[in-house]
Amino acid sequence: MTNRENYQRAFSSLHTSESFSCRLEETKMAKSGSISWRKALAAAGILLAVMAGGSTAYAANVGGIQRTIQIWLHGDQTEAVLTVDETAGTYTINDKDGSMIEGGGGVVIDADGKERPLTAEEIAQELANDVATDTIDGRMYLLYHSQKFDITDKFAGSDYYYVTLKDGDSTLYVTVSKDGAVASSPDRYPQPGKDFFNDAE
Amino acid sequence: MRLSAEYLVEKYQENIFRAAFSICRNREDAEDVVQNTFLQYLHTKQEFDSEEHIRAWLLRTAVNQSKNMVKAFWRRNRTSLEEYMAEVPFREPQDRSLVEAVLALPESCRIVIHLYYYEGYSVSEISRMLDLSQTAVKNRLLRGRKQLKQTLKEGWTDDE
Repeated sequence: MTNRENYQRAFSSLHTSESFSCRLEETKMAKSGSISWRKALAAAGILLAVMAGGSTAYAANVGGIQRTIQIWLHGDQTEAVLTVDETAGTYTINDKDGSMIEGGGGVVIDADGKERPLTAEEIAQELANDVATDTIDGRMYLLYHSQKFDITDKFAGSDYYYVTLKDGDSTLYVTVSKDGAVASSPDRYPQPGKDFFNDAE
Repeated sequence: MRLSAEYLVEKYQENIFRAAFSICRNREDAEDVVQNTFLQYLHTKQEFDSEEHIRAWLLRTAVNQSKNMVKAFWRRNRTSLEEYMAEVPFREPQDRSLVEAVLALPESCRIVIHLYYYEGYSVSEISRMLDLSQTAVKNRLLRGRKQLKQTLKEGWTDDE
């Protein structure tokens, strides 16, 4: 047998898993392309950028675009500074004392799978659309924009709580697991075990 | 021309998976690439000349997606390569050795080797698909073959 025949026979043994099926009905994707988003928290319990407010200004001393935002910090809203490097598509959030709270970044993947860094507006949008949970005094809260919902009693014996959040014209489908893991999508509820995994899985 | 996504999934899903797997070396990541590749097909406005043109577009998109996947900071829970390989029912013992030897190649060689030997593309076609010069493709093929020969010995002949 030739190398090619051997190669084709060997790789033909590799298959997608039995549980895998390609979903073709999910057709709502951003026209500009899908966004791959990465976020790293500097410390637990510090979430999330809620509203991009104030004016945007280029800050030469930090080599990026800065704006003042509101974040949830240990269950309370407080002011912080968002700095965006548009060249790299990355951002940092610092508190009023200059200590870094969170950092991350992302790329837009176009129809051919090629990447470009997120712009400052796109990063601000991603952050503003973020959803998070926080447990304070034994109660679990869902944090979204400037709102804080107590969801402790919403699970009703289930491991997951499904909630639709609306703000103006935008709708967000959110799935929360009992341990606080959260996932959201503008199209449908993320499915536990398929679209996201919590620590227990 | 356009072909239905259902037809393309039926015909090319496993090919896309194998190409993605040769880069990602992980089943779940490769399945994500398959999913995203077909979703992108549904959304692309690109016109295609033929089914072969679509096949090449799907593979190129899957290769780009796979490269992004490997670079991603955040990746979901995954089955290790060893666990997955232990589950694969290879027809012949030497098939496992060959796949393992390919997966041990540098990423830049792996995809060129796969497109050449599995998908049957020529050097010039791979060069267009990956935006590489023909010399670069030939060098990667040469490097890959050399390493496969060293690893597999008589399991890899000197033919092309």
